[in-house]
This record gives sequence, structure tokens and C-alpha cells, in this order.
Amino acid sequence: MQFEYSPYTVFLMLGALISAGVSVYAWARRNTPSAPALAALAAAIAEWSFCYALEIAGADLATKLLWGKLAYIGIATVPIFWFIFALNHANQARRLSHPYMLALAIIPTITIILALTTERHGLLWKEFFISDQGSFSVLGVIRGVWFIPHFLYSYLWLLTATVIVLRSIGKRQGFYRGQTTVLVIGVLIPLLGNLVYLLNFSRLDLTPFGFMLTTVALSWGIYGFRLIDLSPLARDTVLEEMQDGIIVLDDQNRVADINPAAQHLINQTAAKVIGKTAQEVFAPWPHLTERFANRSEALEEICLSEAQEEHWYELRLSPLYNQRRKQIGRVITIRNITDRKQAEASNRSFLDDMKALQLLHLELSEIDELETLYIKMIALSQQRLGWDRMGLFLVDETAHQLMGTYGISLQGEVRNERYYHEDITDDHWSLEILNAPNHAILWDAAPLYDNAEVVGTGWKVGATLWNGHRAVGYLVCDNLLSRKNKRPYEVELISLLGNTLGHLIERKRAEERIRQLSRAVEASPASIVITNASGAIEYVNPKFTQVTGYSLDEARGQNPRILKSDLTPVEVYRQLWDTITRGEEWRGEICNRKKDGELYWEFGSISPIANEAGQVTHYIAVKEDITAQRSAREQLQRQNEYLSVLHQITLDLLNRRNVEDLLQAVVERACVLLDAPYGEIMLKDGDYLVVRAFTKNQPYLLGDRVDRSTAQLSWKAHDTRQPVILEDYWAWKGHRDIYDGDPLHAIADFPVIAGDECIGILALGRSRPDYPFAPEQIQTAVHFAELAALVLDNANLYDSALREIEERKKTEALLQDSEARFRQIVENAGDAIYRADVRGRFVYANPTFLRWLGFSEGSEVIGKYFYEVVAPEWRTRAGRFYLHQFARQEKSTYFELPVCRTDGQEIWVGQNVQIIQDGEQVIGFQAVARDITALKRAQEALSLARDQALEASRLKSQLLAKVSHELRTPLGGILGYAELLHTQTFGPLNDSQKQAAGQIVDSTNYLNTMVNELLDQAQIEARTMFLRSERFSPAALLQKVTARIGVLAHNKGLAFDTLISPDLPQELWGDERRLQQILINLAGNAVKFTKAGQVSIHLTRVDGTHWAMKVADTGMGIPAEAHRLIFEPFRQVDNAITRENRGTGLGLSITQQLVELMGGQISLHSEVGQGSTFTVLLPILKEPEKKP
Amino acid sequence: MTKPLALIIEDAPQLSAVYDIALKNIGFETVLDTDGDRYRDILARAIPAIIILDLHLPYASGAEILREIRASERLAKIPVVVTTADLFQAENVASQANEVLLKPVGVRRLQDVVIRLLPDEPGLSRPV
Repeated sequence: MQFEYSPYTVFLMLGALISAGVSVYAWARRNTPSAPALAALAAAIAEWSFCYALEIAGADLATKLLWGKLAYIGIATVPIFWFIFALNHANQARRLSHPYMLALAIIPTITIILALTTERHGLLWKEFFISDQGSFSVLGVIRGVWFIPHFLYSYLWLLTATVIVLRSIGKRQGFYRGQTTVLVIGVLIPLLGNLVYLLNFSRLDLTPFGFMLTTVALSWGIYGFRLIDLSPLARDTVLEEMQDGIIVLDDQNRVADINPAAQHLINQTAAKVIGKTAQEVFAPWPHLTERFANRSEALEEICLSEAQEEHWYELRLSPLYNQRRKQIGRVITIRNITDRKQAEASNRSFLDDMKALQLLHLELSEIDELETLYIKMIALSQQRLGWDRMGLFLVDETAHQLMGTYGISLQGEVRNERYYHEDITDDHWSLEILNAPNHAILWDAAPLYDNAEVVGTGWKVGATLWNGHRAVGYLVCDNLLSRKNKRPYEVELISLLGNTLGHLIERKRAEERIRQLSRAVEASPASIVITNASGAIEYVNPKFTQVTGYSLDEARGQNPRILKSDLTPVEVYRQLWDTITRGEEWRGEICNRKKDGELYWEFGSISPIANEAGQVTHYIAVKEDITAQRSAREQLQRQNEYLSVLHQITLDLLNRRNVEDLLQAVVERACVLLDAPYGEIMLKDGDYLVVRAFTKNQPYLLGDRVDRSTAQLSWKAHDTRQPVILEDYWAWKGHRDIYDGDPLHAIADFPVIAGDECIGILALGRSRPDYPFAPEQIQTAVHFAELAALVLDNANLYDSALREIEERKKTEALLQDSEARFRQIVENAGDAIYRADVRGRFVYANPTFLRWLGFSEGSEVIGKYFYEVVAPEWRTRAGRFYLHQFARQEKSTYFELPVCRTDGQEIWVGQNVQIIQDGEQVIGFQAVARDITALKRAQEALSLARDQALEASRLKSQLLAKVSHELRTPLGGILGYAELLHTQTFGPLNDSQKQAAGQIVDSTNYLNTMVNELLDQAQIEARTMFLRSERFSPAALLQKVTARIGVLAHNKGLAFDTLISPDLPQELWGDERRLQQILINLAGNAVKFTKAGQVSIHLTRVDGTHWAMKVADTGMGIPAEAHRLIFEPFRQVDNAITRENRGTGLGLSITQQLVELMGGQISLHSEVGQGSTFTVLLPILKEPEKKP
Repeated sequence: MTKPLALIIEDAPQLSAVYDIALKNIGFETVLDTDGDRYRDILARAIPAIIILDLHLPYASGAEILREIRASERLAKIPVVVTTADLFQAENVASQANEVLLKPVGVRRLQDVVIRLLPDEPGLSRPV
């Protein structure tokens, strides 16, 4: 083997070495996806270059042939490895399965085998020779048939791979695109070289030059672009889809890569920015490039404005190192944090708004006047919380009607429109707000109104003014869309505002009410006192101060007892305290003492005030000064007293008492009337006043004649014809020391004037100090003195009439005069007084009578019959009564009857009627009547109540009767089964079982007896017990009784006898069942209480109209003192016996009542130890008449 | 020898059961109408020796039934013992019934009454 030098050989060898180096380098990084394929490719190229270099260097044909054939190992495999590398590089290696790769290798393998054996068959090369090219020689060949498929196959894969790589360039940018371009150039060059060689443009195969370039390209690709280190695979999947923008800058500050998110952020496509410097790319934001120009690391938030919107980003700058920790670039990561920033800003503004709301509340709380409050509410809310326009609408309690509206415009102009009582139930804005959940609502776009005209569109919020339990109104805020952004918490804010204002309004309204109330209390015409629970005064109103003289400061802390006087009975205070401590209101009258000691009367109502827990915390007293009322009332009372005295005296006069009695009466009445214990009446006799009547037994006074020097005051009254009043007689220097006991203080002397003359003096005196006569008392006494004069005059005249009976004419005249005076008296009387003739026709009626009956004038009634005014149903009775009185000439009677007023109303009167006689002849009557209607009503009410009580008792008894009936059915069951048990119907019983069954039977019978007796008693009490009247045979009755009792007697070892008297009728009428009951009860008792001997029943005829049933026994007898007791309900004589012989204790009582119902009597003869005999005496009844 | 038949018309089950046993014990065969709606069928088929009749019944009035029995030629002679808790009712029907027993009606009382009302029935006797 000989070689010769050629410069081509050196180049080719160099290329082979470089390729081999690439192969080794790639193999060392075989974990990277495309590295193994690259290693294989480079290895194949190295083999090809190496062999070709030796072929050229070969000096003889054999050598050239050998290396030329060996070169085919590389030639045949390069396209395949290139294809595999391309697929890997384009991330499509998953298409390569092992069988697929084996298939790919079939053709190259055949080519290699044919190449190595070509001189035997000539399929690849038909001939070969040394072709001298001048400076070098190559192996010349004439190609055989296989060369064509080999050639096509190789180019197919080379071109396919080239296409794959070219296509991937379109998808890649920057860094990787450069890399790929290098690769394509690297592979196209040898292809071109090969084509040139194959098409025989050159005798030298240029392919190895191309391959040298390929290896150079690959080397550059590896070193320049780090072909294998940065795997495009990861980058694709991670970066492309990242939300954060990522921009890679190389060390020249040029953009090496940019992901779609970053492209979107800077609004540029990758193609435009890759390769540009950062300054160019970020030109719109010069401050950023300046800020970050020389920094390799940073983390900052930046704000970029765009179309009036602010966008916030977090910008992170980090350095990019290669393996040798040398910085090769920077990575910019950009994250959009606008949302977060906005939320933060919104939170800040929310806090600000909350503070504003708080301040608003504080400020509004200072305002008390409600109108101002409402206006300030919207004005301040608009100002502080920044809505364009606001409206505040107040509604009534049912939220149906508007009670007032307040609005504030965009310009801050306040409008107060009082739309009272406008119905809002069909206003959908209002309704939506009032019914909004959480009391607030937001409309995003709504028409904005002004005076019912739409003036724009905007968003609105509304909220209920919520006072905690209902809406007192609502708020509406309008906002023009163009003007203001919505806060994210608008609804919450307005809801909060609505709540705040609602509660505030509620509170302010309550305060206003309290202010009004307290103004009312302050201005109240009544005294008001508020004390705490223990009675200490906490408040008094000005009226209290005015009335009592105690100021609020003086009264506070005191007990109302400071006002207490002795005039109010202790009982009243006790009752007051009892009432209010029970939690009830007390009302009543109290006499209190003012600060200056003056007494006054109050009508007060005192009520306890309880807190929510029901505890009394305060008492409030509202009191009215009724001193004036009370004194008026007292005066009225005295007036009435006066009238009644008048009346009495009138009656006295009518009764024609003698003058002395009259005088005595006058003095006594006067004393009562004026509350004066001392009184006397003196009549004038010439120059003396003669004491004629007096009080306080002082007989030495009687007939005392006093002249002017002794009784100066009385004579003064006589002379002046005016009352003489002295407040303190004892202190007067001229007083007479003539009375026993206490000295006189207040005295009064009243002249008694008849006609024109003063005929005497009425003198009154009080011994109590400091108790002067009141003016109205004096007035009363003056009238009374006039009355006394009248009466005395009348009496005197009457006396004269008697004395001068002959002077008939004169007397008659005087009588007429007297009649006139009489009238004067009776006209004023409080009782009705009238007179009628003998036929009962009115001849006179006084005003009181007319007033009672509703007549206005006497003429309306005069001539009418008295009976006409009597209530119709009473006329006959009253007529009979008075006819009787007249017939028997009874002087005076009292009768009560109802009379009819003209308006139909009835009044009851009680009247004293005196007959008027002329000799023996009754000529008429006169009556003094009194209104007793109230009394009668009370009596009627009482009688009604009694009737109702009786009815209730009857109903109760009926109920008892019904219950007794209902008891009978279950009793039947008990009795029946007990008897069946007892008679061993259900099988044999042992002794104690039998005894028990017997006990049940006994108990049931006893219970039954009780039910029967209770029922009977109930019927008797309710008066519903009816007795039948039927024919019965006494013998049969006795037989039935014997059937029941005989056995009992026999069991007790007693003899039982019955006897019927022969004269007793064979048949009688009556209620046989009840008679049987009576006999069984009596005979049953007899058997019960008799231990030995006999019991007998004897029916006998007593007389023509009566028969009797006698039940006798030989028992222990009943003591005499118990004879009456045994007929009372629930009585038995001896308790010891009771224990043995149980019963309700009603039996004898019922028996007695039955006997009495039958019109009979029951009697008892018994002595202790002698036995007892009960006798029932009954009438013999006849057959009742058959009713038609 | 056939036993005499007793018809018991009584709605309170505890009472009808007692009457039933009480009468069976003294030699009756019994048939019960507990509501007052079956007695017609029973009477159509047989003529009982005695009828025990309650006045308060859910579907009929005892007084009505008694009138019906007395009005029927075929049944009029049957002795009827009326039981009731109501004294007034008892008095109202007393003339038509052979015996009126005021409740509670004990076994013994019922048996005594029935035996007394049927003196011609030889087989009736109370076990001792």
C-alpha cells in the first residue's frame, strides 16, 4: 500500500478529525435528545472524510480501490443519520421506532456490501481506474446499476431531513433559529458539492470540502449556539404557555427570546423584537430602560399607563449564567398585578369611607332638630361619601306612604319636598329598595330623573333606613356613569349608611318625643313628682314647686312625706302603699302641708313604673290641687245640710210643735250647721233679751234676761241688724266669764229679723282656738237666722190663731199669710212636697217634685190625678194602700212606689203621706217624697244575684245527676264480674280470693248506694225531684221491702215483723218507689243498728186523712240531744257504729226531705237503751184529676 | 230438653257479657244484640223466653224496641226486663216493662228477677 502526498488529503484529514471530535463531544452528552444522532452523523462524516483522504492519498489502484470502497460505509449511512438527527432536532423523534430504523438501514447495508464486493459483480462500479487530475489522482469509476437506487435513496433522506429542519426554523425564533440555519447551511454545502461532482462538472469530488464546512458549521453550532445544552423541548412546553411575560436578553442587551405573554404585554410580535436592543424594544417607557439598564437583578412593581387605564406589573430581573458561571444575559419576568393593586387601592378607600361614615355619624349625632338632621344627613353623606346626587325618603310605619323627602343635587343644592301621605306602594324604585335583601340594592345602569324627566343614565344605589326592626325610610344615590367609578363595596357602604342613619333617626325621634314629653311635664298644670323605688324624690315639676313651695333642689332626695299632714287618715296612706306596691295605680285625695305650713287638698294618681324585667324602679305621682274644689264641695255639703235642716224645721212646723221646741231645734241645727258647740237664742222682750233656748246644758241660762250692758255684742247685732263676728272672744276685754269649761274664742251673733223688726239674736260660739267662722258659714247662718225668724213668726202667729179663735176672719187672713210663708219654705226643700185633694188630684207640688217628674211648671201637674204619675203596674197597689189609709184615717204612712217621669223614665220614691182632715172628714193629703231609685236598684241587683246563684246551684245539681247516671254503667260491670267471680263461675276460688270478690261486691253496692243518695240529694237541691202519683197496694209495698230487708235481718239473727192495720185502705195513691226507698232506708238502718231483738214495720191509718209507716227496733236507741242532728246531712250518731255500717250519711236526710216533699212528716221516738221508732206520717191522697 | 232462650239487648260489652254468663248459669241459652240493630232478625227466627233490654243503644231506642215488641201480636207476651241508668226513662217505660232494673244490675238481682218472671220454666235454678 503506497501513498502519496496531496494537499486535499490534509484538508480531508483535518475535516475527519473535526468531525470525530464533534462525534465524541456529542456522545458525551448523549442524554440530550438529538445528541446520539449527531454523534452518529459526525462519526459517519469522519469515516467518509478519512477514507476519502486515504483514497486520494493512495498511490496505486488497489489502495485507492480499497479506501474508495471503505468510504461507502460513511457515504451510505450519512443520509440516514442526518435524517434521524433532523427528526430529533425538530422534536419528532417519537416517530422513530427500532423496526423503522432497521428498515431504513436495509438499502445502505446493501450498498455497503455491494461496494465492498463491487469488483466481482460490477453492480456499483462496472470499471475503475486511476484518474489523474494533475496535482492529484482519484479513483475513476464507471457506475453500475446499483448506483441509481443508492443515489436516489440517499438524496430522498437528505432532502427530507433538510425539509424537516427548514420547517422547524419557521417555528423557532432567535437563538434556535440561528442554530438551525447553521445546521442547514452545514448540510446543504456538501450536497451541492456532491451534486457538482455527480453531474461531472468537476473530476474532483467536492463533497469532502462540503463536509469540512459541515463540520465547521456543526462546530459553530455547538460552540456558538450550544446546540445540545439548551434543549428546545423544555422551553417549548414551559415558556410558551407561561402567563408571566418572559424576555431573555443576551449579554449585548439584545432580545434573545420572548414568550407570547411578554409579546402581548409590550404589544409587539417576536419577529419584530428579537435581536433588537432592550432600549429599542422598551422605547415607550424610557424611565424603565434607564432604571434597569445596568442592573442584573431586581424585583420591582412598575406602573404603565395605557389608554387612561393604569396597569401594574411586577418586574423581576435575573441574571443568566453559563456553566462557567459567566453571565451571558438577563431574563426579565413580568407579571400583571393590576388586579391585586386595584384591590389594595379599593381596601384603602373602603377604610377611608368607613372613617368618613364614622365621622358623619358623630357629626349628625350632635343635631337634635329633626328637619335639620334629615337635610344634614344627605348633605354630609354626599360630601363625605361622594355620590353625585342623593335623596332621603321618609315613610310611615307601614312603609306605604311617604312622610317627607329631602334631596341634594349635584351642585350641593338641598331640596326639601314634603310629599306627605303620597302612596308609594306602586313605585317600583321604592319597593325594590324597601324589599331589598340586606336592605340595599344597586342598579348598574338606570335612568336618572329630575322632576320626573329622564336626564341621563347612571348607576344608582339605594338602601333602607333601617332602625333595627323596620324601615323608617330609604336613601337613593344617583351617579352619572361618565363621572365616577363604582366602588366595589357600594352596596355594603350604602347598606351601612342606611342602617346608621336609620338607627340615628329612630334615636333622634325618640329623643324628640322625650323632649316633648318632658316639656309637657314641665308645663303641666298638675304637680308631678317622680321618686325612685325607695320613695326618694328624683324630680318635681315647676307646678309642684309653685304649689308646695319646695324647689326641685330642695325636694330631690327627700321623701314625699315632707308634705304629709295629720288630716289624711293613716288608713289612706296604708291603702296607697298597698296599692302601688302591688303594681297598681292608686287614686285618691290627700291633704298635704305646704312648705309654709298651709294645708291644701290634692287629688293624686300614683303609679309604679316598672322596667322591662318587671321590677318597679320609680313611682310617678300626678297631683291636682283640689283645695278649691274640696271647699266648694264642703260648702255644697253644708248647703245641703242647711236645706235638710230647713226641711226638718218645715216638717216641725207642719207638726205644730210648740215654740220652745222650735227654738231648741233652731239652736241645735244652727250649731250643727256652723260646727259650733255653743249656741243660744234670745228673744227680745222690751229692753231685755231673754234666753229661750241653748245648747250645752246650762240651765241657769234659761230665762236669763240680759240688758244692753251685759250683752253688748248681741245688742250691737240687734241695733245694726248685721251679724257681729269676733275671732277671739276670750281676748276681748268685755267678755263675760259665764261658761263652764273651755273659754270661747270665735263667736257670732246673728239678728233674727221678722218683718221689719229684730225679734231676737241667735248666738254661736266655738271653744277651739284659731278656728274662726268662714265667710260662707256666716252667710249660711244669716240665711238660717232668716229661716228661724220665719218659723218663729209662723209659730207665734199660729199660737195667736189658737188664742184668738173667735177672730176668725183675721186668723184666716193670717193663715193665708202663713200659707205664703209655708210655700216659701217648701219651695226650697230638697225633698219633693206636694198636696192633693181627697180624690187624689194635685193641688200643689213644689219645684223639686216638678223637677223630678220632668215638669217645668206647676200648672202642668195641678188637677192631674196622683195615680197618673205612678208607674202603671203599681197604680192598683198604691190605690189600695192609700184608700186603706184614708178609710182608717191613719195620720201618716210611708210607702215606696215607682213614678213615671214625663220622658218615660221610672224613679222610685219613698213618701210620707199625711192626711188632711176637716174635723172627721178627710179632705186631702200632703206628702213628702224622697228619691230612692239608687236604693231600689241596689236591691234589685241583689235579688238578681240571688236568682243567679240559685240557677247556678240548680245547674250544678243537674250536672251531678248526669255524672251519677254515667257512673252506673261501669258500676254494673264491676258488680257483675265481682259477683260472677264470687259465685265461682270462672272456676273455683280459694278462701281469700272468694273473700276478696265478696269485698268487691260489697264495695260496689256501697258505692251504688252512695251514687243513688248523692243523686237524690242533688235532685232535691235542684228541685228537680218529681214524685209520681200512682195507685199502689200497701201490702205489695211491704212485701217488696221485706224481700230486701228480711234477709238482712235474718242473717243478723233478728226477728222481722210486719203488720198492716185492717182499717188502712187496700189501695193508696203516691210514689210507691220512693215510699219503698223510705221504708228500706229506715228499716235498713234499724237492722244495722240493732244487735239483738227485732225490727218491725207497721202500716196504719191515723185518722180520716192520714196514714203512717212506723219502723221500730230494739236497738241501742238514740240520745235525745241527737234527735234533731240525725236528720242533718252527713251525720251519724256514733262514729264507732259508722265504721261498721258505712253510708254517705245522706240517707236519713234524704228520707226526711222525701217525706216532706210528699207533704208528710217524720218523727222519732227513742231513748238510749229503749230502741227507736221512726214514724212517717203521710196524707191519704185521692186519685189525681185526669188532665185533658 | 231444650234450654229456654234469652235475648240480651245491651251495648256496653262488659254488661252484656255479665248478663250473658248470669243467664247461662241458670240454664238459659242466650243470644246477644250489642247495638240494637240485630234484634229484628233474631226475633223473626225465634221467640225468646225473656228479653233483657237496655234503653240507651247506638242504633235504636230501647223504649222504641219495647213498644215494637208490645205492639206485635207474636211477641207481646214475652217478659221484658229493662235495664237503665236513667231514672226518668225508667219511669217512662215502667208500665210496659215487666221489670225495670236501675243500673248497676248485679248477677244475683238479674237472676232473681228472671226466675221470678218465669215461674213456668222448670229448669231454671241458680247454682248454690
